[in-house]
Amino acid sequence: MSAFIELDQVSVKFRIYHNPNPSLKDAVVNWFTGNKKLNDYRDFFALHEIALKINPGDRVGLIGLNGAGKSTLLKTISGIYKPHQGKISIKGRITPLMELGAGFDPEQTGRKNIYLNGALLGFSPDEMKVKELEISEFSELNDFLDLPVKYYSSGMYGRLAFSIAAVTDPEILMIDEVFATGDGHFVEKSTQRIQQMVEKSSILVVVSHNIDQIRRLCNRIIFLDHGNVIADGGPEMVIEQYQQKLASIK
Amino acid sequence: MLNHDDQFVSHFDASKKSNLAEFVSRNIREVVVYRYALFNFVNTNLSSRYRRSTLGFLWSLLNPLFTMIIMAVVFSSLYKLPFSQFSLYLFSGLLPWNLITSSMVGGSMSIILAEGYLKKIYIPKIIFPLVTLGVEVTNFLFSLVSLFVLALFFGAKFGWSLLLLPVALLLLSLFLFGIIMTLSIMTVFFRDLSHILQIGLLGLFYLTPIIYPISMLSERLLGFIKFNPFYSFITLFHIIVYESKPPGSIEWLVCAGLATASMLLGTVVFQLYEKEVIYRL
Repeated sequence: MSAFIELDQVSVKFRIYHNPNPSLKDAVVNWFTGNKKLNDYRDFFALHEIALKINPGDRVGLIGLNGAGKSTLLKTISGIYKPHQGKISIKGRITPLMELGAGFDPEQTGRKNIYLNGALLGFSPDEMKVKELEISEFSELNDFLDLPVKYYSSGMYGRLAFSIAAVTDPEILMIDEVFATGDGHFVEKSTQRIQQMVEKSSILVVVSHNIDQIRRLCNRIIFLDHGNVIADGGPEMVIEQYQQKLASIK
Repeated sequence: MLNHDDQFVSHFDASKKSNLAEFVSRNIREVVVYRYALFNFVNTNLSSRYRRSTLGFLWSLLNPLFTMIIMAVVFSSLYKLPFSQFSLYLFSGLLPWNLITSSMVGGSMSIILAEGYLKKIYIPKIIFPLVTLGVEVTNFLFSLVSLFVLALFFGAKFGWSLLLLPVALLLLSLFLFGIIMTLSIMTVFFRDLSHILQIGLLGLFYLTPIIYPISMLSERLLGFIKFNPFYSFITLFHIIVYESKPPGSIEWLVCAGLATASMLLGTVVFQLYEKEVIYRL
């Protein structure tokens, strides 16, 4: 499978509005009074002219300080943010392991949520029926699956969410610091599962502040700072640059 | 299942202005890909609406029925009209009106309330106005059942014209979908819109002949009221259900024209602002 991700001079701008909750009332009042403050905003580039080509076999780790644009880059690749400049081409099914339980409806049972979450990933009810047993076994939730998700402990919640994502066969796997939910036993199990998923996937993009983890999973590291790519290459070289940066702010 | 490899190929170029045809075809494609999510949202929405009551689903039939009976009793005695006749008139207008208001109010909030999904995973935004429409149209169909039960009870005759009801519903749905698309985007930029909308709809309710017979209006007032686009749709339902005859070609054309205009407006607004929405949520 020839999955790939290609970004060409991609910029994403965020706007900080003077008034974060605009209302029609304000708009009308300001129109009459000539007050232009409502539309005041400040632009800043969350990603600035990023050019990247990620090929099959690449295990990319994104590192950088808080606010460097790592998560924004993941979200831009998955299509949540449409860039203001540049081109993006992607081939391959993306499985996001970003925010666990992002598509959960707390009022519905765990079982119903399996189907809802699967639907959001593009799986039909029939396909999810096949996966249901596997999810139930992997999450070890069994009878709890017939309980509304709102009664779950946060560990159970995380276990279900991870298990749903874990049974999909990802071509492009995107991970945003979601490891290690649940008890020690489940953490171990899910760490193993992630390793398997990484091996099966064609492309991995992972955001993490955990350098050991990045070293273990990745063969290519991209160091982001203020929306710019500072370094891109083999793990040791880039990690060293990152650590120098960390040392310099201390 | 999405076996086709092409379904997982995406290109985005910020410098290219997308044209309307491209936008429409992309959205149709995405709705097809995300159809299971769409059904699921409609389903959970409907089931959570009635889950907490013992009678459950039955409430969706009984609630509009009782509301309408009370209104029919009040207004038929107010106007001194026979109850059975006036109740059918009232119901045939009130049901589509309820569809109009609930889908407009719900639709205006649809994208804002989906913030939790939109910010965390990729999901086409058009799904959420569609969910609102799907939920409200299903609800309308439920309450239609109670309308027919009532009509049978009062010995109303079912004419062939009822076969045209699906066509009227389709036109109304298209009209509403255009409006909902526009409102769902506008509310992101003007957060107080849904409050204003509710007040506006209350005003429009009295400007539409639903709780009063059209014969009560003076000629001048009628000319004024005809500019209310909802008037044309309510009239369509009145003719089909209450008068039990097929609407004339003028009535059809006006509604079809309104539906087209509204769909065009909604599509243009959605195309222009869809990408901007995520940055304003």
